[in-house]
Amino acid sequence: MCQQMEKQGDWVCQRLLLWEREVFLVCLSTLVNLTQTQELLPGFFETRTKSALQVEEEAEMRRALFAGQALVFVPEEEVCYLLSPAGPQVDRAVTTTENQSVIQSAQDAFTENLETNLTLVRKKLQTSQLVYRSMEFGTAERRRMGMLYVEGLATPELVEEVWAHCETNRERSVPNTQTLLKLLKQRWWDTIPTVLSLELPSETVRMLKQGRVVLFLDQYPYALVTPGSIFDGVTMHEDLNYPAVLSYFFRMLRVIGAIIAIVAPSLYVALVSVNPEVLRIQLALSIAQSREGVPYPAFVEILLMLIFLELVFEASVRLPKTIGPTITMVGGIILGQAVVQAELVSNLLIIVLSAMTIANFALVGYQNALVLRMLKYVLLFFGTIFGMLGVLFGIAWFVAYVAGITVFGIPYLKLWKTREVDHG
Amino acid sequence: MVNVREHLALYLGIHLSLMFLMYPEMVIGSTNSGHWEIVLLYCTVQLLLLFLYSKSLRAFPGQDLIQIVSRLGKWPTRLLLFPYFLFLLASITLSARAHSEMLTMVLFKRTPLWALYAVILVLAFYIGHKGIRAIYRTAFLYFLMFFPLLAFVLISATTQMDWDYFFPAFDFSFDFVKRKAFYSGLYAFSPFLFLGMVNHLSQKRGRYHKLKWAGGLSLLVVSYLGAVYISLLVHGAETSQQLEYALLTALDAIDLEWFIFDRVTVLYVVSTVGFLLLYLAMQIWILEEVVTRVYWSIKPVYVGAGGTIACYILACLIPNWDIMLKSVYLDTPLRLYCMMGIPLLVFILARVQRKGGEHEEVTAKSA
Repeated sequence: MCQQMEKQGDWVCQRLLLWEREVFLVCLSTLVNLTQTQELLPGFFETRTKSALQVEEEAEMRRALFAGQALVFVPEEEVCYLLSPAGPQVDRAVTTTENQSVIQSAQDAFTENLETNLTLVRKKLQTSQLVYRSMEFGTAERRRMGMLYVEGLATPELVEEVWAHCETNRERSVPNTQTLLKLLKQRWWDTIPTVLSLELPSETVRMLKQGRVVLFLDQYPYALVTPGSIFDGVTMHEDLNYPAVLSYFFRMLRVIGAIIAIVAPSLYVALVSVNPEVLRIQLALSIAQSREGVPYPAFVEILLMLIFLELVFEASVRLPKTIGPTITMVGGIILGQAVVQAELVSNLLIIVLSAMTIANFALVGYQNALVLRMLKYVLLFFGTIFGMLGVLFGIAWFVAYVAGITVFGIPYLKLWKTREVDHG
Repeated sequence: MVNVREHLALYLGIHLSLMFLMYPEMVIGSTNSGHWEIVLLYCTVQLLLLFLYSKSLRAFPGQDLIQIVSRLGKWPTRLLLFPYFLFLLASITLSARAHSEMLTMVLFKRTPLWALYAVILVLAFYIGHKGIRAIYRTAFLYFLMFFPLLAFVLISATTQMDWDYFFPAFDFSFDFVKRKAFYSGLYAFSPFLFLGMVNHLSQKRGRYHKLKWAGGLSLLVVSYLGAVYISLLVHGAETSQQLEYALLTALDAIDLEWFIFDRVTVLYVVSTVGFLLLYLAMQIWILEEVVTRVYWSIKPVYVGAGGTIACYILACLIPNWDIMLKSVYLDTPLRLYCMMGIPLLVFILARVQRKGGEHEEVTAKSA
């Protein structure tokens, strides 16, 4: 084993004398704080009982080493002990949310460390009914996974089905959420989030209290909630921290936002190029006037601008924070003014696109916003061919599509209700 | 288990899909005055049939129409359900064809008809093939989306009404029973037959179950009256009779200053086509069930696709609106058989079963 490990530059095998007894401390120096761990050793041997973990197999030792454990080899006794060492402080501290901002709600967000995330949830949901199950995925490349649910609220069938899917795929490695979706037998290719990624512990607790199952992957700073629901895009835990009237107002706004975001571009094409006659004549004329001089059909016009807009989205995610504002400025000039002055697109289109972009991100959750971002292209396609009716067909198709989705036998359209934990 | 709100949404949706095209013209064509008598007569007939049907179906909990009729044996089932099968094909073809015609009138003056009903049928097949539970959920969302639009159109129509046209309000001669159009008008009342096919999905009976149903049914009665009276009160009976699409023309006359669209007819078309998709999806699903379980056990998707293509070809064979109307008249006996025959059949079977049950009980007691 020593020969195999020597190729690792951070491999440490220290010979120590402890009460005149020879002891070897074996670990990877990058995963273990060496000085602090050495200080732990006397205490370890004093309190050592028969139950101290021993490792015999070589594969097991190697696995332990790479998982950040230290091994203590005592030649006199010919045994090798497993020691939980002091690790280096590399985990991110719990900070405020980066991507799912809230105003009147708990501000802490999940981090990469699995245990920290569990602590956050346990602190917010203090009940013995909250059950935590853990397992490890993969053989060569390992990754820890934790599953949380509230007993009595989550149906046993759901819990067991999710767990069974994980158990049967124990051997597979899970480098990303797409593989996790695959082994949960979910639609890994679909934009509809049947497994929802959440950054907020308070939101996760609400989902748990609705009877859903939450999965955590180590080193992934989001809780994965399943089954997802269409209403996750419009409701939030935060809403309930406001008076009821306001919370309904917010939800209504999100619904309107969703409708505008998916319908606006396709309706523009439908009304401009296929069915201008359904508009009031004054309106139709002013639209025609604003399009004067635009050399190509409405569909090409909007597609060009949409691609540009998508590039702005993508670039602003990618760019370093210091250069970020440049994109906004340059994009703003091109989108807002120059393109219209050059008579490449119409004034109205800029209005439509801005309304759409703003509305798109009114929805709760980045995943839900992405659904709309994709969906508008489908509607655009329908609208170009069949005009007003195409938009209707597109929406009708989408509604039927969503209505047909079931996650672990539960319809995606289910309205989950938050219930009280039953202290049975 | 089905929610009562989903159930009601589907029931109302598929009825609303059929009542705004052809049915108003048929009622207006049947008589010169006292149209409400016809509408209420239709509604009474439907309510009676509905009552008979649902009451008898309740004798067979957990079974759908096919299972209930199957007690008679294989061949009698095939024979008894054959008209139903034909009725399904005819209703899919005719309603898709008729609505496409309406679409070309309002929105697509240049689009060929075949392209329109091709899209409608494909979309309906897509929804229908997802199965009854998906149809229920779709129905609920469609109802939320389209009913407000439809209600808006119908309510805004009141701005154009001249209430004097309501008179003469009575016609006690009942001459209309001699007209063909009177019997064909019943086609807008036929969708309730789907209840038999969903009998195995028990309804969750919450609070106010009956009240909700009563509310839903009265909404339907009002809509049936509205569909006829909008064009009557806008144009008067004489003019309405001359018009080919009486309701459409009446709605075209509405002029709202603040509205961004030129005519509210656009919203009317959108909502009726939305409901039509639901109706067609339902019929295609029933077609799949009937064919695969009674006649030919193959994969349902083949039946659905085959049925859709067959209906498409049939729709292509109808060259114009006159022939279209004639086919609706031709279809009437078949429809009447299904509307009256199937509820009666289930009723008789329920009676027989009850008698059999009583007989068994008596023998068990005496033993």
